[in-house]
Amino acid sequence: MPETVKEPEVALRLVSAQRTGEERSDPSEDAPERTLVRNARSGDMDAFAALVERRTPGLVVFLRRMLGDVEDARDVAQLTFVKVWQNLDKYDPAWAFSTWLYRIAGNLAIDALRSRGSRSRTETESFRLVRGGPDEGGAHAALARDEVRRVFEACSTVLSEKQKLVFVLREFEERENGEIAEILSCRESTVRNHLFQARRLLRDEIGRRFPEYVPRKSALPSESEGE
Amino acid sequence: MTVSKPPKPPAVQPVCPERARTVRLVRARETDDLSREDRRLLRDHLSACGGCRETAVSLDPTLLFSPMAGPAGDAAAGEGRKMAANVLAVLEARRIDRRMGRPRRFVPNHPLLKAAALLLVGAGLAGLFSLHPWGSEDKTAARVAAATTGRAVPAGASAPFIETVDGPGVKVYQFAADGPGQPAVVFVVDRNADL
Repeated sequence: MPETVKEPEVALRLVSAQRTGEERSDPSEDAPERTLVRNARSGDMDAFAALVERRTPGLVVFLRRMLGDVEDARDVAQLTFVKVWQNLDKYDPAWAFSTWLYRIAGNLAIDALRSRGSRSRTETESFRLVRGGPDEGGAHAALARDEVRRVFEACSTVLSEKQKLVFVLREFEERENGEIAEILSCRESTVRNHLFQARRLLRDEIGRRFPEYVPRKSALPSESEGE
Repeated sequence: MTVSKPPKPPAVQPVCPERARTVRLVRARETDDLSREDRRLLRDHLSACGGCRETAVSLDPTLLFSPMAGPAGDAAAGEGRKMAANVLAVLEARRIDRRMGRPRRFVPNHPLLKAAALLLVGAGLAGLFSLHPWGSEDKTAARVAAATTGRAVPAGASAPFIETVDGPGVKVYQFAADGPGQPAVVFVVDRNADL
């Protein structure tokens, strides 16, 4: 039975990962990145520049999802990297660099959202959801993504900064609850609570502001059909 | 004789074979029981299957945002290089202190440690003050004044023993020690001394 053969191997790998602390690192953080972080910590400016280059695309996308504006996202990303440079001596290599980076970026994004205050960037124009299909791709998919993003920007104004941060990290960045808890310096139960509240508020807001985007259940095949 | 074609039957949309699994994953997502792999599976399928996406969004409207999920992907080419150049320029322009590479301070910076250090310094100063014989000079001066002028000795001070030597102009004032470990004081007053 292949399962029984594989089980001890998987268990062994998990144990060794826990011992070496690898469990905390995310998959995008490979050996060259760890070397870059180590060199940057010892003052190597080139290594730091290479680190910035590697981490910029993901960070800007994350911040854009948080802030809803690509220019704001770039500004906050730049500030994040400056803070990273200033505080690299405080970084503990036992933890994933990505977690530490996103903690700084998340805090700065929350500050930016708070300072933005009442001047909401919600767009009042009407939206038209581009229905995706099997033929979806290229420009069509990009258009759909763009519209969905604008709906999210409009609806997410009902969320608190932390609820939004948790929702973005979980749903868009696809991070695990444990990692989000590390980023927010809180407990996993708090993360789950934020996520639950964020989903509930967003469901209500979508239904209230954009009911046309939610298909009526009666028009759908019954659940038993799906089963 | 013309034979009319039979009317076309209404088009039946085929149900996606993955529908059952999609519904199961959406239900599990509500209780946050999805693994990272299952979440990717759901996201990938919803981006490819419009029917399942409608079903999923009707069950949980927040799945409307599923096209936003996933890795950065199509980031502008050269964005990383541009950002690196900008960051280095900012660091250079502001001459931001580079703290990495320095050895860690031996004494960690912690508020509790600071408070303990302050407490120690305070206790040390208090000890120093308590060792100093504050007021004993005044007491001695009062005893000398009382001995030479004939006034009453202040309370708590013993009168000195006065001895006259070498004629009436020379007197020796001997004060007993205030307590154990305190020195005895002897004054020699020579009124004839030519200063």
